[in-house]
Amino acid sequence: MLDFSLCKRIIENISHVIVGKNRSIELLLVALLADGHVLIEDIPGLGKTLLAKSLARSIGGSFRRVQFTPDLLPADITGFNVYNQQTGQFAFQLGPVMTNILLADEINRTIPRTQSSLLESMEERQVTVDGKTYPLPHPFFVMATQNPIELEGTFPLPEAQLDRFLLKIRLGYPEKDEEIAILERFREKDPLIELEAAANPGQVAELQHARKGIHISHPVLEYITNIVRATRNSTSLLLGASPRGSLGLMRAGQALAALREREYVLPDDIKSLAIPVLAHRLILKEEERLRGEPQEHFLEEIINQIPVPAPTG
Amino acid sequence: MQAQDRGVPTIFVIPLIQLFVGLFLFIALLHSERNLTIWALLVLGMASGAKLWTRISLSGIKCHSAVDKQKVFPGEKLTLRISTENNKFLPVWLQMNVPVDRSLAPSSPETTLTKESSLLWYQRAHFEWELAAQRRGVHQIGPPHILTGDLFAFFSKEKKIEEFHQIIVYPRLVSLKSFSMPRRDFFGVPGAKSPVQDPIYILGTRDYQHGQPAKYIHWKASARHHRLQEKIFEPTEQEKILIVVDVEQFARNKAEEEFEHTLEIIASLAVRLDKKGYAVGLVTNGVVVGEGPTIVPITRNVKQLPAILEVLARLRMESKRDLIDTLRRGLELSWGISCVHFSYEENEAVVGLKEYFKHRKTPVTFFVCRPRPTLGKDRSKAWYKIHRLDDICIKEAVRE
Repeated sequence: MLDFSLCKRIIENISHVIVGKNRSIELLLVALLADGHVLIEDIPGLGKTLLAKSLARSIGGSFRRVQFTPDLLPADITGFNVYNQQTGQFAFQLGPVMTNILLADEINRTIPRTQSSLLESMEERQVTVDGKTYPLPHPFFVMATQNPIELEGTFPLPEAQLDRFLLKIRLGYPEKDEEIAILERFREKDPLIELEAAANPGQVAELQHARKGIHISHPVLEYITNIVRATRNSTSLLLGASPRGSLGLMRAGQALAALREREYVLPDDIKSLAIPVLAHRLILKEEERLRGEPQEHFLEEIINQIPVPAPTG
Repeated sequence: MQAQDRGVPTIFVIPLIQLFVGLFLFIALLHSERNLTIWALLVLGMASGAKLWTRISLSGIKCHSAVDKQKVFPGEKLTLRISTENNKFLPVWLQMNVPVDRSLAPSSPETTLTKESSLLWYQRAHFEWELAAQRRGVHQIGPPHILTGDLFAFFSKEKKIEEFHQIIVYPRLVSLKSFSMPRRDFFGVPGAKSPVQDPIYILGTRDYQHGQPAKYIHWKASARHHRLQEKIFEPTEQEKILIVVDVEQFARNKAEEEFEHTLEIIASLAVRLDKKGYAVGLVTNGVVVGEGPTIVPITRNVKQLPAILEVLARLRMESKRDLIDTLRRGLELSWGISCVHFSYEENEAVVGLKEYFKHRKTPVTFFVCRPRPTLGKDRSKAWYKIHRLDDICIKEAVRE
């Protein structure tokens, strides 16, 4: 088994910049190890962009940031062919998607067509422009942010796009002590400038490959499918999670076990990851939406009703 | 938590009877009557034991109540669950009494829900009631009262649990007919259209204008024409609707039925506009139960529609202040807003509002329960329209 202690070093490295938020950092690493993507949803000023930049610095890969605006075109993401009048040929201009870590800031501020231009990149790790396919560098990790409060002038992410995100994370306000620590840490200098890489993209790719070897027993697989299938039968939900949700939950469970330096997945890993992995894939029925209850509330009810598999052997 | 003693009338607990039993005991002892002494001692012992039992029966009793839905539509069912725990070795008899608003428990003639159980040591009991929301409004469940005592039910003690639930019943949603609203046009361009261009809709191409971003260049068209061509886009559009509810007119005419019907139409309209992606807001001069806001500013977010429906649920047919005053103090009618105004009748207040909106160049649609026939010819100007309420409502009230 590969030494997953490198993940611990990456987490420690990020903690030099980010105060607290251990759970969010852990989930970010889970998504990275599971070769997925993360949607960070929270109000402005909580450190979403800083967290993304810190991770990019820590794994030493290339990093690009795209501020999503209403006038952003798909070609602004994927790249486009420019006509050269001298040569009479089209030349491909690389888009910002050709990177290891892509920060899609305020992704819901752009039109669905531009949002959808990321679909192929996120799922198939390639872009197709004018019929020609270009592979993306490996690892490729998208961190998108969105503000959940103000929807005016925004375009909510389509279900197909949401389903591509392995996890949705909320950061939340820091505790009082943490806020004091933030003030002290950022009083004189920006710790991000001095942050050095704790790993390189090659090592991250190896970790992602090694994660696939984490054992997951049949009862735990059954537990995953029970949770996912229950979302499809819930009377409060219009649409439950897809098999991609089950796969995501399994991979995320393996990644969490690896992060905690275990060679097997526990039902507790699945239980603790079910909300960040599945909640954003669920669509509420109209009356539940009007009551203002979030998807997390119903998913929590479902999880509490499903029996956790007992330890065997 | 408050606790109080509550006597249950039985012969053994009446002080006078106990005095007589004491007297019997004294006589029995005096005359060495063994059987009478045992009987009197048994009666007195049982009474004092039961009294002591009742006194400690409330200690260690824990209670928790929960409802599955806090916000419901009329006709929907909700479940009230109360769980109690007896955290001591002494078994107790327990009665749970929960006062509820009558409109939540229509099948029950009583407004207090009651269930009984006996709890052994460290035992739990669960009580469950199914309630149905009947009327719009804010209705209270609880606080529950627990009555505990000895297992013979000689004595009892009551405790009030300071825990209650407010159930918000939204207005019923009805089916609406489609209708058009006047919009502010400026040189033929609807006011809601913004100068930001929408890159989805390409109207065509033209020669590249110096200073335009390079991303607007249409490279294939440029190759065909052998000179740079740029794309022309349509402007984006965002409708902003402010719903205005004049409660004063309903209150003055004591038109309760029309008021409820109007709120149903407003709620249905808000849901429809939200579905279409409009930014919706609400202003009312009515009294909102529980000191809630009377203004929901125009915006679009996931909590906007529940906020509007909650204000409509909490609205009482009682006016707080003048509507124009509320509008003036409450919010700025910015460019691009269209108003939909609801009131009881077409009177001077509506005329005043017409002038108010005209002065602010805000297009408005009036819906009134009772239109004035004399104003028939003046119904539809460029910037306002007047409709009867029935014009948008399909008679049969059906959930959308």
